[in-house]
Amino acid sequence: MSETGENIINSSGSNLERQEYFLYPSNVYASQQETEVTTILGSCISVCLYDEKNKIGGINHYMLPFWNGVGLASPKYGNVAMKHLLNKMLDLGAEEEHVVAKVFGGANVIEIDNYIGLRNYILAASRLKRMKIKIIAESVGGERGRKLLFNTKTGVVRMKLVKKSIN
Amino acid sequence: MEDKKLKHASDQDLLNEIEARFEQKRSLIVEQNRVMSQLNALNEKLSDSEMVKSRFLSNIRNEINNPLASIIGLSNRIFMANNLDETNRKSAKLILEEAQNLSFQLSNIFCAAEIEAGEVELEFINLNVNNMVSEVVEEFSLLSGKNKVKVNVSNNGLDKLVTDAEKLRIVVANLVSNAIKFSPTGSEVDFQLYSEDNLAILELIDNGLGISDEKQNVIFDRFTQINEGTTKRFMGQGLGLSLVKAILDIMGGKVELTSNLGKGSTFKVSIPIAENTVRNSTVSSSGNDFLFDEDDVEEF
Repeated sequence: MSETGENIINSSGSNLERQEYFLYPSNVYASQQETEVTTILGSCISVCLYDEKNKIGGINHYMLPFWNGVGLASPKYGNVAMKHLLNKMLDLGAEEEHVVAKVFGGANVIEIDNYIGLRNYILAASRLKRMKIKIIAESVGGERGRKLLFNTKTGVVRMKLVKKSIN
Repeated sequence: MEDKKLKHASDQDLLNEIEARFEQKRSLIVEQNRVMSQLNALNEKLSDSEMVKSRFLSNIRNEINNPLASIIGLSNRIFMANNLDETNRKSAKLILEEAQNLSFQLSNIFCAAEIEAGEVELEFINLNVNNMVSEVVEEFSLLSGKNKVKVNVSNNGLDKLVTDAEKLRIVVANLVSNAIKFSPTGSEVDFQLYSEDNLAILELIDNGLGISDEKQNVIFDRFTQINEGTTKRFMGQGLGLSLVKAILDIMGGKVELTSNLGKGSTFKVSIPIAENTVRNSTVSSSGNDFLFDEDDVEEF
């Protein structure tokens, strides 16, 4: 394990402190440091949580709404990924009452996908409601995938719709 | 007159009956609500204790791993020292062996607990597979001490792999440890690394006891160790191979076993590479440009 992670790259811009991170599906990332997290969504959902007071941001990327009890409960599933993300934020010192959410993804990229995108979105909305976290912005549904760039220090999400479907 | 009275009485009865039933239903609902709120409280308590448990686990993991790392590091230094008499060197080697074995067993247990709790997160890094495998083999060759099994690593074009290094290391360590444990003294084990159809392949071929067809079906189940005769000949909790399978499931890979009794076994691990590698290289080579050419970007 002598190699260092290359999906964390120090950007060569003006701010040397800033890192970049590519978030793979089924993963969760949160940081107090300024990190530009990139991810690509189709019917998957990413929930970006941001603590406005403590300037801590985190993001997940889940593929299916519920762990069905078969196989392993990993952040591939929305119910696990949501819990994980919030725990991670709280571990970093975020305070629940200052956390707000932005929700992205859930596109209907393949015609026959049993409304996976919609079900993923419903899961995010209901979990956030239960966690008493307000959704302050969202871009969900449609037929095109999304590329996200999330800044964990500012909470700003820059999003672009992609032309062809992913996931 | 008599009839009317009777009718009146039965009306009254009916009314009483309805009232009684209503009361019954009401108390049922009250009871239901009480149970409901009890359940809710219990549920909350459960999820709290779940959180405490997982935090406890990650805390003790550090508490255990840190002193163990010191023991391994320092005993290794003593073992490597020049001015040491044979008895002391043997003692140092024993400490090192036992500590390394303990560390291996603990990493298995912690990883299994993590999987059980559904807490697994893969941390992808660009891993030099060759280095990692060589390190593990070196570590276990020292441990193989008594049965002196030689592990030959050969690599045919599999250098870097974007994967979770820690988890893959556990996979490799368990396979190597098994191969060494179950191979006859003085035999050789081949560890081949190569890529095939966008899959990274790690193949371990041993000359061990071999595994019969019916045992092959259960070997990846938890806590199974194939007993030869009535006594358990080999150490270990039988956790290793189930863990290997579980980790590879999470990574989207798989492990296959081919074996003949008496002729040794081949464990073939395959992990998909193409997608990860491509994604990684796109990100690292062109950074943000790949994502944002600044057209049609919306800000939230």
